[in-house]
Amino acid sequence: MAVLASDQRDVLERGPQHMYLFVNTAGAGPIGYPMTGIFEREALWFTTYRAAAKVRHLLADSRVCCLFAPPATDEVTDSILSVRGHAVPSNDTSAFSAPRTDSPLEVPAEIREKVVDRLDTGKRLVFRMQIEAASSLPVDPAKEGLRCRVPISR
Amino acid sequence: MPRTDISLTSTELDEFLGECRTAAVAVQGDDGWPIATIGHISAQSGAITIGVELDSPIGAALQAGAHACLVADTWPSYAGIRGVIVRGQAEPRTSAPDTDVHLTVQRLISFDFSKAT
Repeated sequence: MAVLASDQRDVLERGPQHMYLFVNTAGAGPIGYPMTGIFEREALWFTTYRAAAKVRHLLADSRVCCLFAPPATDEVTDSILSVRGHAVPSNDTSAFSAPRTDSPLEVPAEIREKVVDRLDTGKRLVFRMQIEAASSLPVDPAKEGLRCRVPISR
Repeated sequence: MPRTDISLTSTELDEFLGECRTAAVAVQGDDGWPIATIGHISAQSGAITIGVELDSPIGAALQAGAHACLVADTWPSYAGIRGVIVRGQAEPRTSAPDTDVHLTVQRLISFDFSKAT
């Protein structure tokens, strides 16, 4: 049976996508990062600075959960896609080496060029995630019976 | 060269969270994998409340005192990317009448890409 249903595949094939990447940390639960993910050749690809904390976390524990959701200021009216799998470093930088015309977010040319340069010089690392499971999560405020209060201060 | 501080000020953080409708929330599941979902949030003065399905693995983990992470961001343009990442540990049975779980915040990271240019 295919890991991805056709509607889930449709979400991933829209082009580079904003996603929330959640990775485990040592003894302190997961941490999440907003990232851009690219679905190509049946895998999800993302890149980050080699020195970033998320690289350290991923090299220690490659288990990843990614959520594909609209911006936090938007109301969610449908289900959202969640995928999981192991994310491992890859020497294949091709997903990030050419300008994209299918990205929903227009990334300035100087930023794109900087990403390519940092990949060429090894300052950035590419991860390849083989999707091992996918689910469409319904988001229904009427069912959110648990309220969690989070104090916020800088 | 020192890094530019792109974090949100307290006022900006309040404004941003006041505009947010949802956030992603994650815990570590029973099988050791990170699990996450989207919940609706409401902002009060100095706090947000996020709703989670009670009978879900994430709801159960929060009630059991799990470490949790919340993330909310927006990306109307590259320079308009703003967001917040909150990590903490859940504590059940808070005294607040309208909440079931309290998250003791251990770290908060915020970002506003307009400050990077």
